[in-house]
Amino acid sequence: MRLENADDSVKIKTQIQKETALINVKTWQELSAGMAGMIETFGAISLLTSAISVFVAAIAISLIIYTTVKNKTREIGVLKAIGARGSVIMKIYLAEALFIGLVRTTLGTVLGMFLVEGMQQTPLIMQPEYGMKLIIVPWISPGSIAAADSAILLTCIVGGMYPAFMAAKTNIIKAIWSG
Amino acid sequence: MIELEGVKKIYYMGRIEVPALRGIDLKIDRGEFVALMGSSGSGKSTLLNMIGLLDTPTSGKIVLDGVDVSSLNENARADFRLRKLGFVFQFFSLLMELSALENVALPMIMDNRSHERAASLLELVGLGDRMAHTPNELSGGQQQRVAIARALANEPAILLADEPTANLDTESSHQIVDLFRELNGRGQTIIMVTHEPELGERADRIIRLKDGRVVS
Repeated sequence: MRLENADDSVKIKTQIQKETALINVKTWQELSAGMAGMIETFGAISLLTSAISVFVAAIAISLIIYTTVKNKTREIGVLKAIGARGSVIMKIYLAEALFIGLVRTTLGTVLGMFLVEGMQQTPLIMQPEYGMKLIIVPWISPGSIAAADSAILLTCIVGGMYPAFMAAKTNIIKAIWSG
Repeated sequence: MIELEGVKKIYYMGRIEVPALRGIDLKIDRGEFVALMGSSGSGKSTLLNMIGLLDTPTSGKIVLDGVDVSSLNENARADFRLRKLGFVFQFFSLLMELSALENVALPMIMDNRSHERAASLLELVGLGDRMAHTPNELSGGQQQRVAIARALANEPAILLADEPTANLDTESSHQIVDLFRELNGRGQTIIMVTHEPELGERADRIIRLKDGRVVS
């Protein structure tokens, strides 16, 4: 029996059993228990991969901004000498981190959407020995995209914090003489 | 205008104390052009850094333009540098990605001022025809003149120059000191560190330092 709403399966199963006295009524989840377990495992792996990606992104952005700060030490010294406050210097490098994050997140989102679109055209079909045939069509909700992008942008700001703080605390004299 | 009382600066190399200034008492009047002279290690650049709020004294009092700057916090020191002090460094210290005009306009932009004056300042230092050039496209003397125009951007009470001619040829060096004389003629207070007696003698007064003390 195909349901309008897949989440109603247990409710409908109970109803059928009550009304027909049939014992051997199974929901699609019960029939595809193995497959469901596999999907759950995929979900867990996907979550772990995302967490590692966010961590790597934070380290990467931190290294990028750190390198920029090191390469621009003299300029930072000059800016501070002519009156830039430490907070201004910090904002400059946090803005750079955010800019890098925005560009990369935009590229990543566009690329991801193209991939999902492509996979929707050629869905993955799984036919287990017992149970139902599964057609896996990837789909990402706009909410998920917004949440992931926001998480990455936040990660960029957090990753840029330490090098930006270092830049703000640069010793003017040492920086100017750093050549 | 500038008053220093018992200013000391001690650097620490591990546990070893290295006194750079051993108690400086000094008074410089508004509109003076002063040369700080002394041999290498005499403390002249350290003294300029103290007056320029680029470094803090270990002890002593510094009053600039009526403000006791010894007690200012980091942000107030930055604001004071922006509005009251102009710096000219030995290595020009311009931002290489910016044009001459943008370099000069920078302090005005940082102070939320109109930067229309930037062009007239470049004309004042004789670079009216080089405004769009980046520092790489200018000679050492021209870069230093851009740095002087930038130092004048926010009409500073004091212009500080740390060996501004050290990397210039003789002709350019004299042009820079000529420019300082001209600015001083308009009332600009200038303190210039130099080790070249010929240039130092063109100031109104020479303050000589030796081993962290004023000797004359």
